[in-house]
Amino acid sequence: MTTPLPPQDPREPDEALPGEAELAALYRQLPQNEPGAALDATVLRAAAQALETQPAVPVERRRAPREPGDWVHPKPVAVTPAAPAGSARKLRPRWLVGLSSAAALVLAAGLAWRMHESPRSESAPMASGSVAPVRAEAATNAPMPPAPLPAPPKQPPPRIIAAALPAPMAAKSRQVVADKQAAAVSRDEYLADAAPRAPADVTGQTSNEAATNAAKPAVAEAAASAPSLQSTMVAAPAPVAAAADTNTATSASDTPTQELDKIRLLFAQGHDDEARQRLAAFRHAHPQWELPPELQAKLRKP
Amino acid sequence: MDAAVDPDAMLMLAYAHGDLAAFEALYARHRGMLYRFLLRSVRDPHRTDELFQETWSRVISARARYQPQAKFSTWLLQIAHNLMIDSVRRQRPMADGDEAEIALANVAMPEQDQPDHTLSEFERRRSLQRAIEQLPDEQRTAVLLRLEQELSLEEIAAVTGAGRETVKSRLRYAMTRLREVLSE
Repeated sequence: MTTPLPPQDPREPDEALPGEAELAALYRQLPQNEPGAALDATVLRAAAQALETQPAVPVERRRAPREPGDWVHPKPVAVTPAAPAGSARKLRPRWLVGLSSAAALVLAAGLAWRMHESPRSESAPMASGSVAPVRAEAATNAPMPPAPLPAPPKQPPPRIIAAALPAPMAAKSRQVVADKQAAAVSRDEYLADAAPRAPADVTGQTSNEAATNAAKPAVAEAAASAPSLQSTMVAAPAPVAAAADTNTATSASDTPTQELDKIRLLFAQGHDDEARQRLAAFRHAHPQWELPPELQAKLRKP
Repeated sequence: MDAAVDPDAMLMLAYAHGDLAAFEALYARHRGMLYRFLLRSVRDPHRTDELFQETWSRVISARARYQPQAKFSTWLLQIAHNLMIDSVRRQRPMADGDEAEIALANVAMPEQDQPDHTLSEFERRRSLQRAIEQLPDEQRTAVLLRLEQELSLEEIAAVTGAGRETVKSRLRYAMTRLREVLSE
């Protein structure tokens, strides 16, 4: 290995300084002062300690013994990397891989648990409240004026409800719809009787209710003039009836006490058949539950 | 070996690779000239020892990043010169006059240079020594680097951080002054 010097030759242009040779000769006769032995030892010891504590450049040791004077040529740079740097470089990915694997496992387990839980939580409201939401949707989609109109006595149940439900649920919903139709007939009779009295009853009601009641005679006339339209429309229960249906609808989340309250409400509303069916179902589902005396009497009554 | 190869730079590179013997050889080659340069510049043996040790400490600590872009002696003297300037800025002014003469006289002299030689030669060397001490700092440094280290103008410029023509001008003024003192 050779180390090139700077390109210029420094000595050539400097030879012409006047009187330099004489001064240089006299200067060389001055005392040749040198550092003391203690100073030499200090410097050499510092140089040795620097090599012992921390080698500046990693070296690859030669196998053959060094020849005399061979120290002029520097040793080749080590090919193998330093151990601390390599180990640190390897430790970091290992640690990161472990952490990322654990995070991935936790994420996968969470997703699996979530996907396992989500169908139940989403299907439960659909099964329990399938009748009421469909009815509510039908009520909202239907035009406003026919809402209080009397439904024909023998109106086919909405096909959409039966098609959307399983067989037992569809049968049950058909029975509920039939009962509600019967109740609607009675309400229509009530409304037909109440319509002439509407202006007299307005005094204690709100303005909205008054407007609704005021619109009922006109709607009734329109309904009478267009019976075919009524037969093609889905029966939209009155707001009160819809509220009662939602109050008495079967819900899987109901407690036994709430279910009994709904059954009482059904009896109070005159839905005796449905109430008895639900009471029998309640008795079957909760045989140990002690029924109140009035409900026991209703259950015994055919 | 190639003529353009600086053996001192090779020694320094060998030491950087862990060869202590290379540093010992390097130190043996430059210890005297560095010490004299510092002693005749600062004219204080204690400060000379401190600067001498500090200079070599810098060399030792810089071995890993040493690049042989110039002669090793130039790099070494550059370190010493910078340390000397810092020392001058930090510490008290340099010794002058009789104090400096006493300091230099206390240093051991070779046997052939003892004052049993002719008086004229002794007086001429003493006059030269005192004339060098009385030079301005920049001129004295340039003269010492030129006469002691035999550096070129470019190398002196590299050590002192001045331009080549500036160094040449300083040398001219300094040598003219020295010749005037010696001719008196």
